Amino acid sequence: MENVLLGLTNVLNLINIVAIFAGTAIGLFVGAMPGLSATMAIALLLPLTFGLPPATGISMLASLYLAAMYGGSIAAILIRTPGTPAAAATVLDGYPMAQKGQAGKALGVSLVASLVGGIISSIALLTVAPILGKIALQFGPIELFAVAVLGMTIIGSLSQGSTTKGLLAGAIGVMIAMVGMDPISGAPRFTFGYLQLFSGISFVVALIGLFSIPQAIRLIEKDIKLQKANKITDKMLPTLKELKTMWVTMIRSSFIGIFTGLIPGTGGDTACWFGYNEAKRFSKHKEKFGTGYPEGVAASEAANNAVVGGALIPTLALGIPGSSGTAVLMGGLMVHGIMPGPTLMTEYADVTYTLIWAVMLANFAMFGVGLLFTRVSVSVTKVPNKVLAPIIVILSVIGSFSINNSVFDVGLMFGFGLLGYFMDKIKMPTAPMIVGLILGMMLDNSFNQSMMMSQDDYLVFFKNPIAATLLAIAGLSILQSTPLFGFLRSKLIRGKNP
Amino acid sequence: MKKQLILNMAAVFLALFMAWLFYYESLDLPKVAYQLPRMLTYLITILAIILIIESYLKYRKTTEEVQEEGIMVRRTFLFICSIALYIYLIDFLGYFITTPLFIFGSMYFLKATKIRNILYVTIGFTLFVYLLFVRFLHLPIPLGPLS
Repeated sequence: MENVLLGLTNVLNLINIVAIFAGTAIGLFVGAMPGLSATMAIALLLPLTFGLPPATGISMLASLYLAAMYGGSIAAILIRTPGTPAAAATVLDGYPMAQKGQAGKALGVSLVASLVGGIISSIALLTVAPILGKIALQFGPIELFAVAVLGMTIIGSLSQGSTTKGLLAGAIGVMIAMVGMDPISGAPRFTFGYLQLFSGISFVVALIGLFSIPQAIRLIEKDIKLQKANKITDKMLPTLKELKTMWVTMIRSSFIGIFTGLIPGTGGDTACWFGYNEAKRFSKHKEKFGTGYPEGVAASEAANNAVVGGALIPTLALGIPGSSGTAVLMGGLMVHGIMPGPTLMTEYADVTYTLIWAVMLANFAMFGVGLLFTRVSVSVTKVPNKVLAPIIVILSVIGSFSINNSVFDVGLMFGFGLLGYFMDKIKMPTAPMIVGLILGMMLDNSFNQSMMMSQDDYLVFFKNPIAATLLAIAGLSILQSTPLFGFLRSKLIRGKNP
Repeated sequence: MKKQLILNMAAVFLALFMAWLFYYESLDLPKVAYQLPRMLTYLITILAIILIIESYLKYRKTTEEVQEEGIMVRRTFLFICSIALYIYLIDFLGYFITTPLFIFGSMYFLKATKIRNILYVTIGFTLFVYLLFVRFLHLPIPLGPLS
């Protein structure tokens, strides 16, 4: 309770409030631009937070992440192109509403639903994360190793596309995290003679490269004509009577969003469809969905904003990022010398609880900024991709340079960028690699400590009940995504119904 | 599907090459430093083999060629090369000579917008970066001949 109050007091500092509003405004514009993603924007802005106190910098980035979720709906509603993947389902009803001359109303419903989803998930974050954090504090290196393996396998197996590619990306990420001095023996590992690699590969350098350069290249590799944006001619805020019909949907979608966010590997893009489909399934007016029905917008927007709080729960309590956005946020913590893991809720309680309250406050900031600036943000949806691409490159270069004031890091960032672009072409997800990079150090330390404790007995992970359970779940999560599971399930069903 | 198979094989090759490289580098390390990385190289090798089998089975099963929207290869390649050249030249010419050149050159090459607008973006953005990173954040950016 003491920490909760400490976080609340911290967040109400003027500098933090300004940072939250600034992050929210940037997030709104970034989300509104179809060429930019929230994750990329957080990665690019991360170096800017170096000069700020950790809590302030991270609060700004978290606010950006949250506001970008709403910002994504602006482009979805006005130009039929989701600003972020999390707003994909919003297009279905948002765009038809705009065509009927109800663009303002659609955006207003989206804003209110985002606020509701965000607040409910912030409450969940504020209540569940400390409890989970307390449990995680009991974990020793053996359990921590199992937690990291579980995080890796879940994000690998739930990533879009092939599980094998997801796991491969994660394993390569862990391998890259091993570059640098070994923490126990002090021996330089995989530095290939480069002095610059002795301190390891900066996580932020890798992150900027993996998220920004492929995005810049993608923006120019095809000629995409911008759609003409619908105009906002009507009032934005829905009436209370209109809202009353959507409350249940918003609350249901909020819970869907929280649970989707909790599972590593799934994010706003999954939650929006899940929320939308469930709203349609429970609705008495199923036929109206897809024709410009406000409830459809509310369902998807409440769900995608609720993901933020949900995804932050495992991130803060266990040190396992729930999505690529939270993985980047975690990178922000690491930049400030705060190591991910269960100690986040105790040792760094001031930063962590400030962040939790910042997420709560960012919802209100998003509502205010949204009401004031949504009409203005329409103009950024018109920025051509070919203008955005070189600007992204410039920001990536300066961002990666600023980490260690090293041009070597800029080259490294570009190398990661090319790797990310190649991974995109072969449909290999980058999120598991990012998580691997983050969890690599935790895996390495906990593995070595476990080995020392057990005198090199590999079975130690199976003798510990918690670790064994977690590893069994990890194994199951891999198994369920393989063809073998489908085969076993069909055999089982046939066995029951011969 | 054949294209996907080739790309998957390229991924396998890259993964196996990395695994081999890291395994080779681990040969001189003490046990405590090589234990986990070596296990990872085994894991990557196993996953790469599974990916080969998976890709081949998928290729055999699918008869239809999925038509994907093509990319402008020449433009993409030249843009990537221009980024590489830009980064390479920073050390010699400095950030504030290479950056406006890159912005103007790449936008002109991409036919991003009218030349007047490209000029505005080039000057505006270079100035923005200068004010934010040099004046405000005091970043020691390489200035080249301008230093």
